[in-house]
Amino acid sequence: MTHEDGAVAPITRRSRAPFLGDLRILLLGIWGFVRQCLLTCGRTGERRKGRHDLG
Amino acid sequence: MTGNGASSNGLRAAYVRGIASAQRVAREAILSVAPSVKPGDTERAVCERLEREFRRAKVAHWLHTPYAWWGERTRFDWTGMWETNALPSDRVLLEGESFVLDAAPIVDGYPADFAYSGLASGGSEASPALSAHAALLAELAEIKRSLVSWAGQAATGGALCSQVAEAIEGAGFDVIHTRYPAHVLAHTLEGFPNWCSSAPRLGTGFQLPLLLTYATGLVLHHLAGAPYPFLNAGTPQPPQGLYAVEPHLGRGSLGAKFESVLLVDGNETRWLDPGLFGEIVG
Repeated sequence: MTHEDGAVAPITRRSRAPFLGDLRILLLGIWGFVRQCLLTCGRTGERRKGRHDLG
Repeated sequence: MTGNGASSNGLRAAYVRGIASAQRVAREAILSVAPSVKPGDTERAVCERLEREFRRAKVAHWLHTPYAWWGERTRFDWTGMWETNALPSDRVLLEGESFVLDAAPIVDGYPADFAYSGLASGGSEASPALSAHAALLAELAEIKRSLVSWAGQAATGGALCSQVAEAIEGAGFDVIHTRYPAHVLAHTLEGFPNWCSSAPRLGTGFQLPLLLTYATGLVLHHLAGAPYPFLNAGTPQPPQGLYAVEPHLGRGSLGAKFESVLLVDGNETRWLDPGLFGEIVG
């Protein structure tokens, strides 16, 4: 980037990813995991029980 | 070379071998089931066949259990939460539909993540779906070839993701991988085995080792400047280390992806499996 006086601004590179974006990833990830567990833990248990019952 | 340098190189080589060997297990299980996927199968039934293969390979821990997606579900066009929508469903595969199989077992403490994309038999050889799916695979193969040089030269992971997305869109396809949780093109496979890699399995889908490893990675990135665990649009550092890379693209009602391990280490950038769904050479 060049200023009006011709000086070149130093290139700044972020050292961290956007914090709010990652907070969202973290919270949605935990929520998604909990929802998925609630949906499938019972189902997996039923399937295991069924297999066991069949001997 | 110093003694320490030699021993750290040796440890690194052993780690890469561990990942390669886990990836071999995942690939063999998926490729042994893929030819049997046929019209009439449900996603759930095929996932059970995959799980049977992994049980034979003595897999007990997972980053995520097997997923199978049929037809329009290969595009993730659903609304709402990815984690619950992506779970294996009773959707029946129809002739000429695309499908994707994806599993990430942990083998001897090392994680793997492999995905295969196919088309259900039954469509005629001149069917538009067959040629459209072939075009998706050709683009994936091209991206896989290009990624080696792109990853080695990318200023940041974010720049690499933009480059991949531009290539996909430039070829006339839709970018699908940004619909994954965390919008990832890739996720790191570094740092295993760790404190949670032997966590017990809970239901189906993402598992504790995945959630806890990447949550810890994000927290350490922000608190201590540790390497960012994902390659997505916000990745501030250049790619470094081992990644499970999963470009996913679509057109019309079809979607396709591959998932392979890319090693970016100093001057060396290479796939552990250079071909599309090919042998793992380590």
